Amino acid sequence: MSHPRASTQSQRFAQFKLVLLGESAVGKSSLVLRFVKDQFDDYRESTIGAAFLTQTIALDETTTVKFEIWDTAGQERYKSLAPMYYRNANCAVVVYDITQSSSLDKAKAWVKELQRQANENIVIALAGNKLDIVTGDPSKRAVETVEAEAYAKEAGLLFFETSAKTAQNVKDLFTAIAKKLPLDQPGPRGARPGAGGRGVDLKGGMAAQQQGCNC
Amino acid sequence: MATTSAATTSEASSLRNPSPEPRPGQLRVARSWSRLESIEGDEDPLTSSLSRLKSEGAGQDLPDVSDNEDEDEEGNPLTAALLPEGFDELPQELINFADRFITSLTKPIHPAPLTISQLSDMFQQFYGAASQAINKHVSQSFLSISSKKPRTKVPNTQMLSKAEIVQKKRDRKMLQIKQIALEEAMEKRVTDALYDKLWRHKSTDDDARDDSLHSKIAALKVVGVNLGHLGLELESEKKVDDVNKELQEAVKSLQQMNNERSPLGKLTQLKVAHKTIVDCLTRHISTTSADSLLPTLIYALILSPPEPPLNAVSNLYFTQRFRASSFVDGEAAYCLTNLEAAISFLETVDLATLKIEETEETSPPSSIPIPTPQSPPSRLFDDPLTKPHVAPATAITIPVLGKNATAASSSSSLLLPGASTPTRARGLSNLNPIDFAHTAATTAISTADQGVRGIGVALENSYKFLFDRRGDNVPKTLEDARKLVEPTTPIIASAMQRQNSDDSSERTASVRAPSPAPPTSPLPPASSPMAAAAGLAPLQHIGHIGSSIGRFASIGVRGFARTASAISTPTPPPPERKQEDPQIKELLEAFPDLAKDLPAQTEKLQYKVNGRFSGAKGAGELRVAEVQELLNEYQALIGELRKKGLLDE
Repeated sequence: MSHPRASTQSQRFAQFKLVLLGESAVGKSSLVLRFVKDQFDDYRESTIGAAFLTQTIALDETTTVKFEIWDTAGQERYKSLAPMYYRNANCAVVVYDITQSSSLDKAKAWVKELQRQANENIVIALAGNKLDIVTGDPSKRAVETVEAEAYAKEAGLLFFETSAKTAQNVKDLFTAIAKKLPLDQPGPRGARPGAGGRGVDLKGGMAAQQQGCNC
Repeated sequence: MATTSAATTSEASSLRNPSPEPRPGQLRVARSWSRLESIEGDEDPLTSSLSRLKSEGAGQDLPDVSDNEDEDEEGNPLTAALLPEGFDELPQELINFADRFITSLTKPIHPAPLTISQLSDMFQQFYGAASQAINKHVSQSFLSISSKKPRTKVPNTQMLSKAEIVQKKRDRKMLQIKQIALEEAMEKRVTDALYDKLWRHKSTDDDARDDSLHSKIAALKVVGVNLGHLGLELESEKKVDDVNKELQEAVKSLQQMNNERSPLGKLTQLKVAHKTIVDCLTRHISTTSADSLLPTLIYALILSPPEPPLNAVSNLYFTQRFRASSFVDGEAAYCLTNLEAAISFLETVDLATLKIEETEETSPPSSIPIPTPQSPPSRLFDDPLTKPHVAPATAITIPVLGKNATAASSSSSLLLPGASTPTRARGLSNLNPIDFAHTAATTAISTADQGVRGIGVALENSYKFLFDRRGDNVPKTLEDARKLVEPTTPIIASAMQRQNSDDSSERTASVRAPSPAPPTSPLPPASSPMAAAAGLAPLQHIGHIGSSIGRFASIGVRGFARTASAISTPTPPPPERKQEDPQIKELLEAFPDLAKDLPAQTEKLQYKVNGRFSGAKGAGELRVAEVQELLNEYQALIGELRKKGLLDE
């Protein structure tokens, strides 16, 4: 897809810190690499590799959201270091592997910790990765969609089952996060919400957002 | 919580954010787009600072970050190389501005000595003011330049020619570059002028933490920590060698941080180190995610030689405190966080975390109870409230290759008679107390200064050592430790009381659990003396931490020595170990000259103290004053142990 040019005077531009949490083998970095590499044509890896990536998505012609994506080491021994990474994060993607039920337990623990310790208004998305495996062989599924979805709803999380391999739902995941983030503050030159919206009803989304996140 | 380091951290984190009270969801300007970094690939701080240009532009009036602003109209990247000589030279007015600030800090006008956090705030405020002054200067000089240009005589209408538009754009770009270059020059000027005072400022414990880190690194080297222990498996030995070799470059960069006297310079070296690691990972592991990057950074720190000292803590905090916060972009912030996390990990790591014991499974049973692989991870690591960086003193307990290194490592071969890597065995015995000690350090003596904290660790550490002797239920977590000191689970307490009720305190009741050791106990009593001796090494290092705590440290060491040897009494060493006795002696002889540091009342066990501490819910209840009592009790124990004649020289 192509980026809108900054040709108009009214632009929303917001930057958010996104932290990635989840066990080592659930594919959290693949998920993000899929997001930054394949969905967009201007991917360029940062000097510090896949651990820190940035990606900008356009919600519509005038609204640009830039994610600064902070990866965290998923090994259990580094768990206690996570707060350093998620401090000041605006949003988090907690990844589990739908073929490993234990990984959902870990993910729940992360969610709990984030809700207790991270920024008060952090937007958390739960991503059940490796959807491609289950699509190929349904018997491999260890976490039922309804189960995870019910949990996500109860905990107030965005929820997607994703495949980093096939890119299924990957873009949707990040777009949903971007939409849920508070963009209500005017951009550098004022905002013109909803102007020429391209499939995204920004106005409505923003209004809803303002109610929830007018911190 | 250790207030000083906690404050430091929060201060550091706030520095990273442009707003003092960063709020979630707050709209922030882009500061992290760093395309130039991939172009530059060099270590020129100015060029690297220019990478900010893009983000500044994006934040202010160029919201579209896809706009290729980092190249001029001819497609040339904007780098320092293209800039005229002396481009970043400060004009006199700005020099005066900076020097006034420097003078204000060096004059004795402050009622009390400034703390590091006040200093940091003052610098950040100065950077803000300087930025405005520079902006004024740059605008003026730009106006004076452009007024000489013929094109400005043309009315500014919509009818500008293409060339004029290009020129205008270029001028604006130059203006921004000039602004950044001068801001960098200002930062460099003020930090350089005051560097010797700011780096390891006397209100910080940066140097002590560095010393601790250095000894911890030395210990982990001895243990033989490799990337596998850190969670990153390499396919072949060859790769291990290659990685080790390539990481030396990263180590150099990390050491280079010492030579840089400006925050930018240090930050640049840190980024270069990250780049080196990422390049290495790309070649050998193919993934550069945090799962690999963080372990490799930690490993690089472990690879760093003792000389020149790494001083990673001091360099990290200097950069966090005195780098203009608005200049710390996302990538820089990530690098700093990574280093902070790596340091924190090293400060708190224990062998259970590294799962070192798993590598020992094929070895003959160690004489020291090693936490089993099935044992739960330390509670500390499960509790996110416990910030790992609040335990700067934990590393005090780590052995260092000091003067008794030879003795210690030779004794280690006894611990694991059949082990192929005796040095690792020594490390095991030495590091074992850490898991308890670090929990103690995080919670126990929170109000104490560094020195008292050090002694707290020493004392707790030796208690841990006692627990170790029991051969079961080693308190791996704070929770475990609490259980042990709570009256409801009075294993130690009852043992102590038993001893209390019996005036012939010759017995080493405190080290005998009422319940028999489980049959699976890997502790052959015979090897205890050696284990104890090896266990002394960590405490000895306390003396290195700083002169202020040297006295406490020596007490701790001495106590440890006696406790250790007393423990071994119940079972005399088997003949085949006797030949090693000189080694123990050598270790223990390292301490008698410290006797003068001990107060006189070491003849009796202080059971009053014992009761108090056994009733405590946790180490967190201890007060500074009680540390002394704990010490007294400890010293009393030492006295009894000495009576035993086990320390006979």
